[in-house]
Amino acid sequence: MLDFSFEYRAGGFVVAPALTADRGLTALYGPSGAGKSLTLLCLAGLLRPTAGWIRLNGRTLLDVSAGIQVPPHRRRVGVVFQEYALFPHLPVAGNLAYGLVGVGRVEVEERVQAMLRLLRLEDFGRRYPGELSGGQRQRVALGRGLIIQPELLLLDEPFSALDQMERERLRDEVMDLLSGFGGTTLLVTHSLQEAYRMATTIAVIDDGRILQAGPRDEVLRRPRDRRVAEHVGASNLFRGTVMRVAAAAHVSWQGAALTVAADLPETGTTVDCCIRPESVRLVWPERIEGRANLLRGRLTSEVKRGIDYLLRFQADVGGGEISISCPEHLHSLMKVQPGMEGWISLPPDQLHVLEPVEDR
Amino acid sequence: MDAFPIFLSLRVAAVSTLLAGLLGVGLAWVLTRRRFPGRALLESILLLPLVLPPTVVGFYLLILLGRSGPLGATLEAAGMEIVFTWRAAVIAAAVASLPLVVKAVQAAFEGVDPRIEAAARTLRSAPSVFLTVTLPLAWRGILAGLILAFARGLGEFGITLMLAGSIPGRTQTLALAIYDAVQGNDLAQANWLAFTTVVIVVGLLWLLNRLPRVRL
Repeated sequence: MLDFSFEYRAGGFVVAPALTADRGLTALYGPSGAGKSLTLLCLAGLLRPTAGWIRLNGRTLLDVSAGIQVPPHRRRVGVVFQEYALFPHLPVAGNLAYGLVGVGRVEVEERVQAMLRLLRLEDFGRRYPGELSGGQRQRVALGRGLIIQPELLLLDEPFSALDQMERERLRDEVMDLLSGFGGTTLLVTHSLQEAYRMATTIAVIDDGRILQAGPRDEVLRRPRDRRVAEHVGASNLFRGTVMRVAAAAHVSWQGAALTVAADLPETGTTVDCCIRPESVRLVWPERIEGRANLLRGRLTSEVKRGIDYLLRFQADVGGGEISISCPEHLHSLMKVQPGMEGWISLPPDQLHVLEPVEDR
Repeated sequence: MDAFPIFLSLRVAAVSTLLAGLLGVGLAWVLTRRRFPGRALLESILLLPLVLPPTVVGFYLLILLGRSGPLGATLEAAGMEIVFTWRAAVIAAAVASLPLVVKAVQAAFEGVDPRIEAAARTLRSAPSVFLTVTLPLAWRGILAGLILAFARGLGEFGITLMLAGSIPGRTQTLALAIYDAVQGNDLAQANWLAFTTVVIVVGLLWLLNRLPRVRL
């Protein structure tokens, strides 16, 4: 288990992430400039935080107040860098063996051979990195990090140097190689899709801080606050007021009364809610009976996004705007086109109440 | 034919290259990998021997290393005479070639991808990374710098004359001996010394061009 809370200052920019990551793969997801790579460099020991601590499976890697700073090569942390950073003057076997210091010659040979087999590069031990394809280099970089039997593996945007096709293939390959790794893996990425595909846990980072960390679906469907909602694409945000009719609470938004599955704070409180564009339902006019949070309105525009359409819907009440992701088959089935009038429903269990954004 | 100046110059150039090499690699590493106040100043001072007239550099070295100079007095107390000995010629050549080494090695270190060093650093200690990654990746540039330094040391004239004098059989190096021979109208001696110098330097340049490249 990896556990940290530290602060690093780079000019005026302060990175102060805190996170607990179990065994398995955790994605550190955020936009460029969020402090992802700086966090990773601090964890690897290549940058020196100004305050805080890092613990890995009970070992203290860093404790600034106690003056503890374990040097990078003694942390049992493997790092796979963006664009791999292989040693160009060493053959593949030499790259793999580089971190095996203080290991007997015979064992080094055995472990390198075993790693070459695992990477499916048995015949490439004597080749140089310059002679390898992008995918092969990636595997060597991963093998170089794994061969030292680390407790923590850090992957810094490992697929950013690849084109779409290669990326898909290598993602599966890397997942495959990592399935045998029993430690904690931290994947730095700016792609939500990649974070969701590879990780069981997602930590959203921005402005140098972890905004939310949790199981991937939880983070996507139940973002903590507005900022997280924006980062994870829960782009429909509603600001309303809590109202109560009899004992039943609802959120009043632009004159519409929205039912929410979760508990609501006291009457009169202003709350933000969000719903993912994929969770908004288009409703056939003849099936509106019994639907919760039904809104009538007009589709104002549509954008085709490859596998789905992004529709913009303007509700009749108050003129609020809602984005809807509509799969292609449904789009043609319902003969959706801009300008048409219709109904949508916001399922109460998908309508999520956000915490207010804390000021700092 | 007196071959003494050739052997003296080869010895002076070899020792000064070693000195300038060790010092130059260290300084170049500091200048490329460390940020500290006074860095720009240090870099400018190191380049001075390249732009100042050699006699000016020689003059200040003479003041510094002379018997009553701050450094010279200390060294003499320790039993080490510098001025007007072959050691002075070594120092003159080393000072003249240091900026060449620093510039060449700096460029070589700058060519080493810091991410590769960072990757190495997660696997091995800092000194080991320097020896097994930084130096091997920069060695071509370093060797080029050393060859330039050797050639420069071989032909050093102005600083050497100021600091070591031109004592035949003691401090008279190749360049000084050629000048002396021409002054004394001994064209045969000047000719063979000059020709030998050309052969040595052309050989070095040939070597420089034949250095294998590191596959990247």
